[in-house]
Amino acid sequence: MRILVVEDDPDAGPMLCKGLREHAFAVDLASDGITALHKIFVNTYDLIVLDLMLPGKDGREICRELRDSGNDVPILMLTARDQVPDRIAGLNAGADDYVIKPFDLGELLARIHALLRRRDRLSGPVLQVADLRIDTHQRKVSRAGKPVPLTSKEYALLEYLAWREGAVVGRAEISEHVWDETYDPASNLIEVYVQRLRRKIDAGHTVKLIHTRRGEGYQMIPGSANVD
Amino acid sequence: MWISSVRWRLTLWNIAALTAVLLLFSIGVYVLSERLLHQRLEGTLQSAAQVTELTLNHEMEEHGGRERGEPSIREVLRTMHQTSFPGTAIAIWDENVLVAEKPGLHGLDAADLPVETRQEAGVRHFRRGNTEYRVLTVDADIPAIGATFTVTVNESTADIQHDLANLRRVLYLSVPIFILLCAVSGYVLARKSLQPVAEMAYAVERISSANLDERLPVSHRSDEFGRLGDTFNSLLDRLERSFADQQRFMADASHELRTPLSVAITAVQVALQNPERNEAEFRDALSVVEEQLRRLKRIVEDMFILAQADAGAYQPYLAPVYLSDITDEALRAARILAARKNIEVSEEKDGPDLEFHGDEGLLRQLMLILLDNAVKYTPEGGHVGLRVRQRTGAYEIEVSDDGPGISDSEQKLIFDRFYRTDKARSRRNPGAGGGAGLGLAIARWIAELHSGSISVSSSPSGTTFCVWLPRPHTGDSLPA
Repeated sequence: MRILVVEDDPDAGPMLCKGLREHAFAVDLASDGITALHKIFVNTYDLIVLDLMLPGKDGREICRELRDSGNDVPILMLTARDQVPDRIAGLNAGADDYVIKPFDLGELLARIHALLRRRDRLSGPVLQVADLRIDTHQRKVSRAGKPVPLTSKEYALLEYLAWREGAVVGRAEISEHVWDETYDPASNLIEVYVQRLRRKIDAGHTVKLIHTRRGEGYQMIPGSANVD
Repeated sequence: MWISSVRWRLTLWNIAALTAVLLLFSIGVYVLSERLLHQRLEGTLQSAAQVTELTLNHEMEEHGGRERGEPSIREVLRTMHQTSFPGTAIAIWDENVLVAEKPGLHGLDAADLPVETRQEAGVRHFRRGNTEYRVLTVDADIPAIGATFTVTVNESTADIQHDLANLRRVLYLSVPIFILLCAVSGYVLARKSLQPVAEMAYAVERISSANLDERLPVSHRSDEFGRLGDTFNSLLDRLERSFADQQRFMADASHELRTPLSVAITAVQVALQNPERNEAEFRDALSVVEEQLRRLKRIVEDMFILAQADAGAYQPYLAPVYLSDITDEALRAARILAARKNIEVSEEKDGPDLEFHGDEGLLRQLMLILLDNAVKYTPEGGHVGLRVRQRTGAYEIEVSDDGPGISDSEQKLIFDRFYRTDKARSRRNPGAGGGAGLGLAIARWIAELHSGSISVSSSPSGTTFCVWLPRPHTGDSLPA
């Protein structure tokens, strides 16, 4: 899942990005309102973590502009203002949730997951494809009851494919949602990661889950044969 | 206790005053009535005596003969009976011998009169049983026969006593009724006129910090209670304003404190979430935490200074200082910060020994705040200038930068607490200390503590802060 963090503090922004990346999110950082809007229009984000007080355009204005333009990306507002009127104004501007600084990183992550689940209309934190089980909260993956250790990036890719279960997911879409803006489209990183995932998930199982649709992309679906 | 209510006290004073007035009035009326009644009785006696004397004189001139039974005396008796003094007993004596007598309804017969009453002229009174009598004795000279008769007229004072008793009854009855009426009306009046006070007390009782926007009801603006209510309301206005200021200050302060706290907590939690961190990563996290703690420390210190300033608790240590020493020191500190952004800091001053009388620590802080700000808002490779000028009776210190300038609307606000022209820019330069927007508020307070002032002028090509510090002794002013 790809997240945009909009935070002007020179320490808080990178620190938060680091914390989220280690939880298998692809994270971009914008340090003012104008840059944030620019990035939102260029990239596709699954969620935006938005600081309320920003130079240029403040969080509320960004929120309102996004909603006015029909963008319904989940927005989590961060603010050091805890007065009730501030919260009301933030939510009225179109934010989906509100976290008061100083926040607990665990709580922030839980709220991010909850917002993503709500968007996906998922009832719980567990994704299941055949006998593959993905616990999105604990980032634990198991196949036929046996735990499968994955790196952050591998996990992020698997989670995205599982979330789009049955659909053919193009490389562009994967790079949009799993990699951040530092992704080089000319690289074959996605292929490399798909191969690694196959080795860890499908090797030794007769029912294959990760399939390649030549010229289109990848598909997660229980099936017996691999096309390539 | 009920006596402690003004309403009751007013009523009691009212009753006491009225009772005193009514008692004095009643006593006055009574005494006057008594005297008038007695005077009237004496007047009656006098008239009766006069008429008798005149009649005697007339009849003696006509008939002569002074013995009982003579025609003259008979005529006198007839006339006496015809006079209009039915209550008065009249007797005529010739050398202790009763010559003629007319009994009166309220008089005593001649035989019962005490002997001494006819021995000397004058008014006397005496008692018979329960009744008091008044007797007037007159010597009637009758020139016609060359003799002198004695005339006694008397009447009891029963009528007077009766009238006075009636008067007493009227007074005994009416005075308490008056007092009672007055007590009731006084109470009602006091209650009615004190009603606004009761209403105000009720309204004031309900006002707390949660509803400071409520005001007291003021019905008659011009009377004493109206003025009291207005005074109260203007007090409430001031309270509400300072409470709102305080609340805004608290909200701003909590916001400023939360931001560095939040960054530090995130840094620590991110550092700890992965068990396999290397030393460099921990170092990074710790340096972020250190930076945020410095920021917190600075904010807390600034807030403490302002809190002391607000409470009037700060005792400035005023002593002779060299202004140039202070600016030199502040310049050294500013140049270290400026060097990182390749900013040139220049200085201009009127002589090396600029004597001043002030708090050295505060003045140094004032200079540091202004130079810090200037460096903070000046772009890389820019220029910051400090000028110290000696004017008549004052010093003028100017700090200028080549920053982007401050708009006119913002110039009014920059000396307010927690105000920042751009919420984020001040944090961009960690070396500058990352203030909380309290610096200029403190600078203004320091200038004002030295009876001076601070002002700002700005254009898109730069900003100049000017501090005006009047010298306490004007004797050593230099020629311009």
